[in-house]
Amino acid sequence: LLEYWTEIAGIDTGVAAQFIALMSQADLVLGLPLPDELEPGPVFLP
Amino acid sequence: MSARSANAAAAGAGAETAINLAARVRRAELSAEAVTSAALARIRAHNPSLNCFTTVLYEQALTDARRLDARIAAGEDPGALAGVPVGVKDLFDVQGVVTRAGSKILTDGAPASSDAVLVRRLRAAGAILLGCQNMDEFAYGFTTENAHYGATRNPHDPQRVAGGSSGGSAAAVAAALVAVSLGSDTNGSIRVPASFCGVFGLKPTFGRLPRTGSFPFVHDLDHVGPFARTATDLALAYDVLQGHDASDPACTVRPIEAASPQLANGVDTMRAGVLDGWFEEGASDEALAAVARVAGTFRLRANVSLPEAKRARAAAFCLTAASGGALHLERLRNRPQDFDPATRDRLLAGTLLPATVVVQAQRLRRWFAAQAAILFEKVDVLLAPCTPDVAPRIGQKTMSLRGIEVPIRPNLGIYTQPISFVGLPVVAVPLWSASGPPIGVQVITPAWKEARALRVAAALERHGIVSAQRIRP
Repeated sequence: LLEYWTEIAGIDTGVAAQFIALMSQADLVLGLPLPDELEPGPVFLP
Repeated sequence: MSARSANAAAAGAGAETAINLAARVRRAELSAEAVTSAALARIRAHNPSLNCFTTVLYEQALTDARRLDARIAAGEDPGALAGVPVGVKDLFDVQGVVTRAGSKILTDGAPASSDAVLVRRLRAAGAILLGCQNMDEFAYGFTTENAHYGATRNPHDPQRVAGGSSGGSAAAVAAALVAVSLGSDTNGSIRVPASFCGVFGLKPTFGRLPRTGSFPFVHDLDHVGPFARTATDLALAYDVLQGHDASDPACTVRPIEAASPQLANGVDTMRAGVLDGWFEEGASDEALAAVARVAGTFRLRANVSLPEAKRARAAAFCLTAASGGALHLERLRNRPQDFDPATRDRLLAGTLLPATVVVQAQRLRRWFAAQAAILFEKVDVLLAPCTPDVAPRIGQKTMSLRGIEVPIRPNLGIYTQPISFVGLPVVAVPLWSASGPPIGVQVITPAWKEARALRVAAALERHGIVSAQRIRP
């Protein structure tokens, strides 16, 4: 993936490394099955 | 030197709590001018090495102090923080000062035309604002190793970081340059530096304190709150700062709930839950020992689990990058060379994050908040480390989490991120590790129960478990 971002997509190495780290966290987020009816935040209302 | 000036010199040296200092100024035992002069002298002496302040308001502070003395002489009530030296993170607007938020880019902006609401409230309570404090660029970091303004050094060991992103604010309180500071906390930026600098820090419920006049980072995760050297001072500052402000759409309309009158109530009947799982995996022996010492104060305590905390932390991580990237998009396009490269790369990566992740992270947020609410049906307070370990050394790039080497920058907030993700109030309380440096514990309570967390902090302080003064474990 790093090679793709840096050489094929032409994205800076530093950004690519950060993006890879970010996507590893995104995988965790997307890996939790949630009920269909669950709405997004906000958590509290004033 | 007059007797009043001599007293003030002692007070400015950090011997006094904010509450005692204000009482003495109100009684005219000390002049606000002399207290301010002494505090400014300490900043002159120590800031060149510690780098807590990026702007010091030498003349303005003395002018404000003289004005306060005149009001006291005229018989006016000078306020609960009369003459108390304070500082604010460099993302709060201070009239006449350019708000830089730790960046080079914002240096080109116009000076703020008015004070942030919380700055105004501090001044209305008689506090004397001494200046603006160093931070990670745009609040995106946990170490305050700022590429433009230098690193803030830890007052307990100058070779170590102060933590971040409110590092200047925590270090200035720890070094007794001020009695109270204001910081902000999106993912742990009050709690991490409080932990490393050995001071008390309050991250209130999301929406409790108005952010009006502060530079944002992630609109639905940004909190603001105070640092202090005692739980009593922290509660006093919090009480002064409370109140609705319609200019912050997230700010609560709930009435002010004063914490100070509740501090003496103790914790005998409280049930404490020690968070296990994610909140102990990777924690150092020092961090776990600190939590155990705090837990030992509670007669009723048990280990409890907050499910999927690792995913909650991941969701906060993703939302931060995406929202931060969106906030700074124009600056990333037009002035990428003026960012700290490490900050810029993280923000740029955030702009590439698929929308699916952002939506799912927000849905996960609501689910996780419900899990926390279920836990609070069984316990009154939750306990967890603030940081996985004591402060790393300046320039250190990686750290060991139970034998696994990980980059420092994104991992110092692994225990704070899941909690701020769902907006719960936390008081960071300072303990002292066997190896020397301080380390903090999070005292977490249900939404809007800041007073309970502060009451726990005060009880721990009375029991000698927590202190901003070095104590042996």
